[in-house]
Amino acid sequence: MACLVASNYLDIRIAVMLGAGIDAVGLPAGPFGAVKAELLTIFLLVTLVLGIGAGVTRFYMRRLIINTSRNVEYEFRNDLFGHLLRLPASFYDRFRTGDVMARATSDIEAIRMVLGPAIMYVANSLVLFPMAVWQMAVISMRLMLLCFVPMLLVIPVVYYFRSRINIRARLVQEANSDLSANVQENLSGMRVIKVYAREQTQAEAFDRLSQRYVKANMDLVRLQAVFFPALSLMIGGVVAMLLLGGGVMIIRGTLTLGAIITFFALLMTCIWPLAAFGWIMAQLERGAASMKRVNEIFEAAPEASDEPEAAAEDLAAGAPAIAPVMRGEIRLRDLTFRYPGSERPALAGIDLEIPAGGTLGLTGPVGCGKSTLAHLLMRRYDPPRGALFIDGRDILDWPIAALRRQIGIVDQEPFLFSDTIAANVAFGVAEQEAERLAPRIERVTRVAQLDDEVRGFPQGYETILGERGINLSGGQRQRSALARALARDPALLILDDALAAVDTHTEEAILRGLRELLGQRTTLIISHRISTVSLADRIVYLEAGRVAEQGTHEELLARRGKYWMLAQRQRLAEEIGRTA
Amino acid sequence: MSKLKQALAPDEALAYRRRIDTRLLGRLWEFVRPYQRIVGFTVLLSLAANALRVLQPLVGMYIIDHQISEGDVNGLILMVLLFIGLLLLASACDVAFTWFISWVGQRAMDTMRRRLIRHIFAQDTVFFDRNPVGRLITRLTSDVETLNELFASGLVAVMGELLIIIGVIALMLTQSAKLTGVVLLSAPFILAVAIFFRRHSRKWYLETRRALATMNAYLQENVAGMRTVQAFNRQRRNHRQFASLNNEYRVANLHTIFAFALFFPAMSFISSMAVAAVIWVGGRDMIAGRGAAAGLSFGQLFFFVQCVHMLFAPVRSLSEKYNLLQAAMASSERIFKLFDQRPTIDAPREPAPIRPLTDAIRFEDVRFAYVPDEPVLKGISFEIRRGQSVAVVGATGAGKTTLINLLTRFYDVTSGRITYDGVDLRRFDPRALRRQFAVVLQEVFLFSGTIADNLRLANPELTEEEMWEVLRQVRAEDFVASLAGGLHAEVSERGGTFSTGQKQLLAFARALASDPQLLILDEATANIDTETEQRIQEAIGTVLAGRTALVIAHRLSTIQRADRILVMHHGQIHEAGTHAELLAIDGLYRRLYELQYRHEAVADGGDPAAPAAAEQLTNESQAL
Repeated sequence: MACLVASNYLDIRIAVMLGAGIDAVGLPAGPFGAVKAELLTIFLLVTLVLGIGAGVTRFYMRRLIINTSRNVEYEFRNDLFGHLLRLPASFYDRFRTGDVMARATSDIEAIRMVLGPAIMYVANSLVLFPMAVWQMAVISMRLMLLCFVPMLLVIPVVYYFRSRINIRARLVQEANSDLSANVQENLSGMRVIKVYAREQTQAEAFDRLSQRYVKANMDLVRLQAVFFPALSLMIGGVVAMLLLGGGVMIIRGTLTLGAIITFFALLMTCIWPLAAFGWIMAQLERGAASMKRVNEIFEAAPEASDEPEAAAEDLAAGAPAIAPVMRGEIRLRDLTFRYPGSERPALAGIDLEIPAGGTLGLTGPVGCGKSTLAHLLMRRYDPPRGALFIDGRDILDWPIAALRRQIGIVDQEPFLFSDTIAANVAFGVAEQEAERLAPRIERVTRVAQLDDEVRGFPQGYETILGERGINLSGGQRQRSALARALARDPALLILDDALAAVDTHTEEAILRGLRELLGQRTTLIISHRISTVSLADRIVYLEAGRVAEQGTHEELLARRGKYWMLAQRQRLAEEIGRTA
Repeated sequence: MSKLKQALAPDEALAYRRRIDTRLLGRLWEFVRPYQRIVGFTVLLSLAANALRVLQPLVGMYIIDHQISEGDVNGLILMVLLFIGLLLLASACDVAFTWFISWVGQRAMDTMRRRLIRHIFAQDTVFFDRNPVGRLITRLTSDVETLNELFASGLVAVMGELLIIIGVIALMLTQSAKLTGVVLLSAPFILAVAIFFRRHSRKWYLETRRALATMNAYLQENVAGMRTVQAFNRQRRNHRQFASLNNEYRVANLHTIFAFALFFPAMSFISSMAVAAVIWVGGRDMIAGRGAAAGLSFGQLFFFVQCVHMLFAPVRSLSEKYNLLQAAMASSERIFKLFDQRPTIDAPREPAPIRPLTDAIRFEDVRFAYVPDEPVLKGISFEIRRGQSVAVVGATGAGKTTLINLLTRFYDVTSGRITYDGVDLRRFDPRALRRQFAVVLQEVFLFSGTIADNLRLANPELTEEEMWEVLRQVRAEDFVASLAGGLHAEVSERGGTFSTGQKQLLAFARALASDPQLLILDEATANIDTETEQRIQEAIGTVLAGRTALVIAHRLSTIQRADRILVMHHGQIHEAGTHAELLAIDGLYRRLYELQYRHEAVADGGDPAAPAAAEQLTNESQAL
């Protein structure tokens, strides 16, 4: 604040010195001639000192305010990310990734513009104007009214343009994201485009969007092209007023040339803060809209977090004090579940029991509700109370972190991260624990049948995975995800169609290894493959969210129902394999 | 952490090495060349605007030295009007300049985007296996946009600014060489500050961009993979990692702010000093009377003060534009790298003309491997005669889908050949070849737009009645009619609002709408409810009727409809023949039939061989 006042005060003094210098030259020649030269030198030295002072204080002011805005932005973005980490699956069903990204990037930037540059300009103007106006009034009240008052018009003009520019800039942004979406679709559907030889038509559709983008841009340009010249025209107009009014006053002898020059310099210092005022008002509008959009995320209710953060971290670190320890006994009592916003139940009236250490196989056609059970066990969605129990405790009463810490899940389409393979496998293992678990990690990569292949890569486990593991095959991705889940040493393992892209031969080896590794852990195996689920103690065939058949593999085969049909079909693949 | 950053933003690491590259600029010019007259015109406009601006201090000087000194109020009013006139003209030139230059920039970038998308469309499958979608989108959008910025606010404007500097110096020289010298004394200081600024800001500018790209990639990945993050209790650790990336961005920004906070006040300081020096030197001369001898007046003093202001503005903006130029160079390098990729599967220079099939398509000892040394097809020979349908059956991984990939030339054979009426496929333009086929792939891809848009994929002239007719034939009529909007119902991204079965029916309709002479069908295996399944079977019947077809079949009803059945196993054809022939030889197909399709046959009740086979299988499985 001191810097702010000082730098503006010094700027005004420099303007005054300028006039003083000119006036010194203008003094009538004669016996004072020598003195005039001295005065001039003094003027130079004072200006030098003032200039240094103004520069230094301005430097600190700028740094202070903009730094603060960056620091606030940093905290704000951290908070937003922290909140995102705690939002439940249903939130991510509603908000697409691109939408969340837009809010976390461009909206936060708009808010920062208000906090940083906008505040700086406002503060600066609030300090500068009274001082400058006072100084101008001291020189000549009439000239001040003549020049400075019309200059205030800059504010509405800038505001007018800026708020319209913001709107059009947003339209450009929208046209741009339509264009991106179109490219995205074209690239994903490239095969269909090619087999229908539709390149030309698709390219023409792209052309239309590209044209629309051009048009949106030109709409924006039309405003921008006028905006800056209009501004400089206004400034020029003020200078013309000064020349005219000041000129007349000099001719009448009421004002010196030096005073006019000072006046001119003062006006110049005021112009940009004035223009900034209009800009700030438009920015405020935009910032407010962005704030609303960001707040929609902040206002979304986070997952029930029934324990302090620190305790959660201990859990993640695998500290011995995991309370409660999971044995892995699962009971479903007349479980009916609908996804939020859906009328059809995904699971309807399911009664099931998996004893601790037991293995349940779950199969059935696509969309029968198999994965839903996995989601509920992970508490991605909340089941109704009194329907799903682990170790006899309602799942809703389990601390979420403790629950998840003791479950290893391999999702249908496993999500790997852009990092090394080693980091991906150790994803769920706390850093402090990594050392102790190193032999375990080595073991699970072997069980997942990943080890040999990865060692074959030039960089081994340090191989960097591209976006979502793009440089791995589907099977390698699934096996990496399996290793990742096993590395946590879970009390309950959920395999959600986790080996679909792995060939049957490798799958067999994996399942053999798993049985050995897991020993008496509870396992839920969801799969389309009979060979996979047949290992389970008990198998459930789901259809349209209901249990259609259940029993052991042998019992189900003997029933000659749907499970038997599926088994017959799949035995074929093996049969053929042996025939050849 | 460093590995993580490398993984998150691989492109950023490679960028910005390059200095200004004239070869790249030459290639960029190609896109602007059609508008070179307009570019010439904008250069003139910029010249005019800047010349008019440079004249303003001259007018100011004249007013002070004549009208004001001489007390001529009427003359003063006249001159001020002239001053305003100059201003208006300059502003008008500015408006026109910005508009025209943006117009050219937008057109040129439009051309570039269009060429780029066509170039991408012309690439083969290998290209898409190698280039992730996100990267291609970046090329087409943000990289092109950076070039546009360079063009709109960069090159020509830079020329104008250089012109101002030269013009102002020349004008100053006409007034006083000595004072010009005094003003130019500030040049080394300006240069020193600008160089320091450029070095410092460039380094941190690049770092800012890198940090931002990395942070955003991390954020994007976490949002997209949130369920995994939460499943593995990674919230705390990822929050820390994010905070660290966020902090890198903040620190890079703080350094940039430091550079700017230093640069602007330093420039103001130098300009204040230059003004003071002008007044000091000029003033002493005037006081000493030497000024009068040299013809120095108050007006001239005022003129020099204004000139200092005019000189400093372009120096500031030139320093800022340097970063933009760097970024644009990096973008254009990435874009042209993409332009330089050539597809390996392309039309030959003189493609053979393609006519409707009269004889047959033949696979002649076709071998193929996606990855060297891992053959997928090991010497396949068969023919599809005109009007005949061939069904391929076999286990997953037997190489069935590869047949389709080769026939539609998504890949070319490694050895052997495929002929179309005796002509090697590689002699055709792949686009012309594909136009002969209608293809229904396992995974149905519907385009966003309306149902009608999707049906018109192959034939844009299709009328509404024709579309309804097609939908009737594949038994999708009632389902489409039940949609709000009917044919004009919106299809969301990838047809997300339809069930798998509905999407398949639409895919059949789409294939049928193109009325193909050749049909390629990769039957989907997904489980579908019985009613839709029934419809699909009937639809397949309709689509196949009387057509030359290659079908990868999973349904008994489909297989039985085929004229010939190929049983593939491990990249080879194991057995071939009609349904009856194959059942008779007690081979793989017979076992397959008995195991897999028996119950379907029972459900259909249409197959004469079924009851016996069913009986046999029942006995067998009881023995299991």
